Amino acid sequence: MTKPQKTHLLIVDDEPEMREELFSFFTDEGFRVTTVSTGEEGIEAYLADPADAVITDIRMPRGDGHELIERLQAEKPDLPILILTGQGSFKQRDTYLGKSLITVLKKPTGLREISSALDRMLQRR
Amino acid sequence: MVAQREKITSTEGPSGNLLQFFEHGPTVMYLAESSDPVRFRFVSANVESHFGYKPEEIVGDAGFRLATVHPEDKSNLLNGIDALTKARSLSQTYRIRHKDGTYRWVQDDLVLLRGRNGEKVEILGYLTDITAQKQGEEVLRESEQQFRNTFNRATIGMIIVGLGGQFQRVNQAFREFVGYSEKELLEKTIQDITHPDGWGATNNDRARLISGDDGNPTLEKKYIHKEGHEIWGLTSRSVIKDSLGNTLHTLGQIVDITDKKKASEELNRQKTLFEGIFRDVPDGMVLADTNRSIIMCNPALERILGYGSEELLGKQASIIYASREEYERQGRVRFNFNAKEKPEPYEVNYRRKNGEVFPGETVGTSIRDSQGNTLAFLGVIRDVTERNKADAALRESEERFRRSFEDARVGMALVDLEGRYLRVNRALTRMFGYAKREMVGKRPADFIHPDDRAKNERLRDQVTSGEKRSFTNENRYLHKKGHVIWTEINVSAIRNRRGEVLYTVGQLQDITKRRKAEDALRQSEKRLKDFASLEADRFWETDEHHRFTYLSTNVEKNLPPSFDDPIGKTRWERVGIDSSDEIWPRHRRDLEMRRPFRNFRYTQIIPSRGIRHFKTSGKPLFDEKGKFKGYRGTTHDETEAMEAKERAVDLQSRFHVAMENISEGFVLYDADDRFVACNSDFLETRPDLAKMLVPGVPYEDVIRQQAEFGHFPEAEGRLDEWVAGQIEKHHNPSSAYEILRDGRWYRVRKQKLADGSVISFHLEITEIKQREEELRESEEKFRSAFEKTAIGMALFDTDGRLSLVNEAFAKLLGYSISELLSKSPAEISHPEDREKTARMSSLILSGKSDSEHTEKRYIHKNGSEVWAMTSIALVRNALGEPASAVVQIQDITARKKAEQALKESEERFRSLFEKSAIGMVLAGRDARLSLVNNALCDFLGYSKEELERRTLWDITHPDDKKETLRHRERLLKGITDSHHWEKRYIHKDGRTLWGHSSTTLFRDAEGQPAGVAGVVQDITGVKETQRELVQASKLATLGGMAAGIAHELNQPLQIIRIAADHCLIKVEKGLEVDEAITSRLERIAGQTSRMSQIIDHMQVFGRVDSSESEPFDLVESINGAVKLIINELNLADIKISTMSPQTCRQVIGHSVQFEQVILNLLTNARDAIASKRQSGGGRNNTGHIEISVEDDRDLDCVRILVSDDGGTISNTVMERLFDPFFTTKDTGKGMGLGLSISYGIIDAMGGKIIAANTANGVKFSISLPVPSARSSSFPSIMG
Repeated sequence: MTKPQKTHLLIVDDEPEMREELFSFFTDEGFRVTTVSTGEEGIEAYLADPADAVITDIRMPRGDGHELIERLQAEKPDLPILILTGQGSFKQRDTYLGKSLITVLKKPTGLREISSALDRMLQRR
Repeated sequence: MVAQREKITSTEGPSGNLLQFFEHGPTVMYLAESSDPVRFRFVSANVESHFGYKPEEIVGDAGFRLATVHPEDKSNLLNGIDALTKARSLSQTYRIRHKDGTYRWVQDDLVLLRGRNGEKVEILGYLTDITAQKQGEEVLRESEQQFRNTFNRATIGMIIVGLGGQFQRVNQAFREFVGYSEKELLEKTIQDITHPDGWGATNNDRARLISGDDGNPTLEKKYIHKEGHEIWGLTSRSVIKDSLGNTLHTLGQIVDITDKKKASEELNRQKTLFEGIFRDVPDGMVLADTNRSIIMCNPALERILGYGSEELLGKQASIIYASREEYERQGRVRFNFNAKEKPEPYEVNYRRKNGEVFPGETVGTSIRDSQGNTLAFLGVIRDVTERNKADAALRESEERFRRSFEDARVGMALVDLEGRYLRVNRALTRMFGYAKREMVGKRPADFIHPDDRAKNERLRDQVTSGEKRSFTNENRYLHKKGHVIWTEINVSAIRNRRGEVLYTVGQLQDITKRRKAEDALRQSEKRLKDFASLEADRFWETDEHHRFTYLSTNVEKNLPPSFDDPIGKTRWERVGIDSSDEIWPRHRRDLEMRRPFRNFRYTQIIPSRGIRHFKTSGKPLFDEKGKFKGYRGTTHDETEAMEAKERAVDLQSRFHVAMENISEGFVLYDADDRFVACNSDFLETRPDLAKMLVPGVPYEDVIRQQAEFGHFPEAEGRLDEWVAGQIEKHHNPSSAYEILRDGRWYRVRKQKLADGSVISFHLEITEIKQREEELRESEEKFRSAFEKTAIGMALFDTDGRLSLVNEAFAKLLGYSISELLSKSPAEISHPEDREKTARMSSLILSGKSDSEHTEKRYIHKNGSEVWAMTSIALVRNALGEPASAVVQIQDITARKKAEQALKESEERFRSLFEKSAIGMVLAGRDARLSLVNNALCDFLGYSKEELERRTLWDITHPDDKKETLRHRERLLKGITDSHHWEKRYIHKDGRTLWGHSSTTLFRDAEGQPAGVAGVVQDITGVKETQRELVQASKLATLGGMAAGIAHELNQPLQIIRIAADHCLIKVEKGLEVDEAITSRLERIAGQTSRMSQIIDHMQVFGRVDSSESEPFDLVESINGAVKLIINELNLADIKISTMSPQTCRQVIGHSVQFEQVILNLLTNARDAIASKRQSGGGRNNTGHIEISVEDDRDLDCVRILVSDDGGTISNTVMERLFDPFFTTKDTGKGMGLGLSISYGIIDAMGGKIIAANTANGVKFSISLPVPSARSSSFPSIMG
């Protein structure tokens, strides 16, 4: 809560290294970053401190990404969500692809792709 | 479980404990209204843990059930509820959609609860998730399917037979083998199709098999094909038991070995056949080994030689030859390894056991194996003693004829129908003064006196035309020295049996002397007549002084006018009178005495007429007073008469000389039939006539007396008649006749002279008669030799017609002799042999060949074929010109038929072998492949020549060599009769092949093991299918693993990528790092995307079998793919446009897979554009991808075109575009699986993907089939 004007980014990923890298980068980029390791924690964190955008994995133990997204959308339909997934396909993908504030990027992808996708959604909001 | 349910239904509702149970139990309980649609009233809470729905989502929602049941199961479900109203309880399985979208298999056990009045109250149901169980079943079903496929597609017949022998399952191969349909077979038992011969064995065998005694695991068995013929199967059986060890049924594997069996039966049959031929042929046959020691001989040979076979076997073949030399000579000529095959028959002398030597017509050949090595020698011997005797008799007869012809004392000539001398004898050449060679070939006309030619020709024509049998004529010939030779010629015709004239024989007797005598006689007769008719009297008168007073002038009229005037002169005073001659004083004395005188002869020389002879007679004349007045008388000029008389006397003596000189008898009778004269020749042969023949004896007396003495056999018993006949002939002599007197023959020619006298010539012709007789006899001999020989013989002329045919010839062909005589050799030959016959005949008749031998076919009168050994030999005339041909034929039909049958049978066997689809091979003891068929060659990839140079070991897989060797040894040692197994072979190109090998021992003619015969059936396909099945299941497992691994790998990759990117961004922002590090960071980032691509492919690969194909909207799928890559394309400044119709029919497949295909094409297009730009293509000219979907409702497919402008690809690349692991991308950019996997996916969907170059890029075209007429009504499951 240092600078309220900073964009708050919630990162949900079960891989600690992944969380660290994203945290480090987006912090450098001037985001306020919160990281959690499960979907359930993600909901809790969001409810406790709503973020401006969310980056989440799909396959995670204890509350997967779909559930998280469903809950987040229920909370805030225009919340930009960036999904990073190792799976090329999954059932909900078509639903997600139809929404302008959800972006699916297939792992592995570059930091620039992540960053620019996030930027686009934030602008669109 | 069932018990529990019972318990629950018997209570009013679920009790608390039970609810507890259902909260956590494996079974979801529910209560529902018995209405339709089913509306749930209660669902146990564990429904959520099983299917993801909360009970409250279900209860009360009438549409829930229909919405969650798998579309394919809906109709079942509805039927089920209908059924429930009839039955009290029901159990159903169907699929329900889990809340997470996946389907689960459930077992739904329903009970209809009824109220007290039996009204439907509600449904109590239990849902059990049986997905795991179902999946297990699926695996089982797959395995069963695999087994079923293997069973059904096996090339070997496979059957499953119940314990009672009934068929339970039969595969395609077996059905084809026995010809029955599956339905027909399933109603039959194994016994129904087993050959009755094998019933007992089959039953025993099955009983043993079922009782656990293995018996023979394989046996060769005869079956009956549906069409009734026998078929052979190599049957292997095994017993199938359940887990408790009870026998369930038997499994049989049957390899069709009918062809093999047939071949071996055929071989057997041939062997029997060959033995039969060997035993029954009339020709002797002897087989000798390469040392010429006899190893086999047939009964005919024993018969011919008089030996028993035990006396011949093992002996050197020299035992049957007439001499050691002959034996050795044949060894040099024929019976050695180098001899060339000469199948022509030759004649050799052999010796019988009794020492008798006989000529044998022999055909000697070597028997060789397929390599041409001599194995044995075969001799086929025919005893030709009888034939040669007939030949000899003929020759002898001809020789005798030739001798009698040659040695005859009369001239003899043989003249052909063209009128040329074929042959002349010595007597004739002496007669004509020419040498033989100067005459042969010339015509008689060349020697006949020109005046006699025409007549001779006319007479000859009468004979050759058959008008007359013979003629006799007197011909003048011209001797070489120019003088005339008179001959009496007798010409008769020699005819063949048909009565056609072949040639003429002329016999000539020199009658020159006789003719001379005849001439002399004729001349003398004429002179005598002149003499008699001479009238030249002159009248004269003289005075008393004897001086002429008158002289008639007629005498003088021919005298010269100046000749002296006689008037006034006395006779002796006339000019030219020599008055000093002593006759004149005597004449003057007569005149003085006045005496008359008669025939006073004197001569007078008259100028130009020479000495004239006169005779004169006169009487004295006196007047009335008696005074002498002179003489009156006549004078005859008798000069002419005197000369004639002198000549006549001279002629008379010459006639006598001539008469005496002629070599034949000569008799002259006067006009009153009285004997005048005969020559001594006549008398010499009739000494008893000498006393009787005095001039004046009547002809009749002479002839009658001789007849009475018995000189004329003809007159015996008919004397008067005969004498009358002779007298008639004497009075009216016409042609000559022949008469037999005292055993000698005479030809009598009589001639009547002008004064009525008759001369007759008696020419002795006894010798000629004898010649004729001999000729007849010779002809008869020839004829009988010709006719009686057992060999068919015929003669045909240069005109190609049969002119002489013997009985044997006619009999052989079933014709009568006369029927054959009108035919040509071609007419009686088999049509296929006519050309050959004509060729041979012309060879012979043109003189190019003296003899020809052949085996040819004739046509019997009854139309059947007759094989005959035919020899044609040329008969030349004396000029050496071909005159006719002698044909000898011997019936060899039996042998030929046997040969033919053998050949046909051999051909049949060969074609069976060659055309068999199953490989066949004969491997000798040395393992050389001495005989292989085409099927084996095809199987192994060698040509026949290549294969026959190789050994068994060259084609056997190394791993199977030991086993092969073991089986071979067991076969060769006789431990086993046959062996069947699956073994590996090596193809020429090194590939391993699988074959079902059946081997049996092969024995040589002595029954010794000679090698191994094998039948090889290509089962590589079956084996490969088996292997592929294993491979596929391995791949599927790998695929499943790959999907899991992929996800796990993506995690670390992502981290590496982000870390690398982060460093790079920091570098960009000014962090000081050396360039080497930057480039390596870039490399790390780049490598992660490469790995990610690999992983993507692996995921697709692993997904192939994971779900069912289903209809999907391909436009959606394409859009999905585009969305996945659009960011990357935008970043790379590549435009993409999609064109699709408003509605598009659905296609069937996996939409995710299809998306992958599109994604792959788009990635390739992107890479191509990037690479083109890099190579200098320029950013402005490239960078556009187009996707278009075409759904033409008239076609049964949808087409998707993906094109780019990233440059074209070469033809070589184009060819391999869809090959796995083929890539044109830089190392590290792609693994070359994308297009091959795409191809596989499209292929699995029943579609096609092709690529083609456009002007500046590549266009991929995918066409996918559309399920017919279902596109609109087919519901989309995913909504």
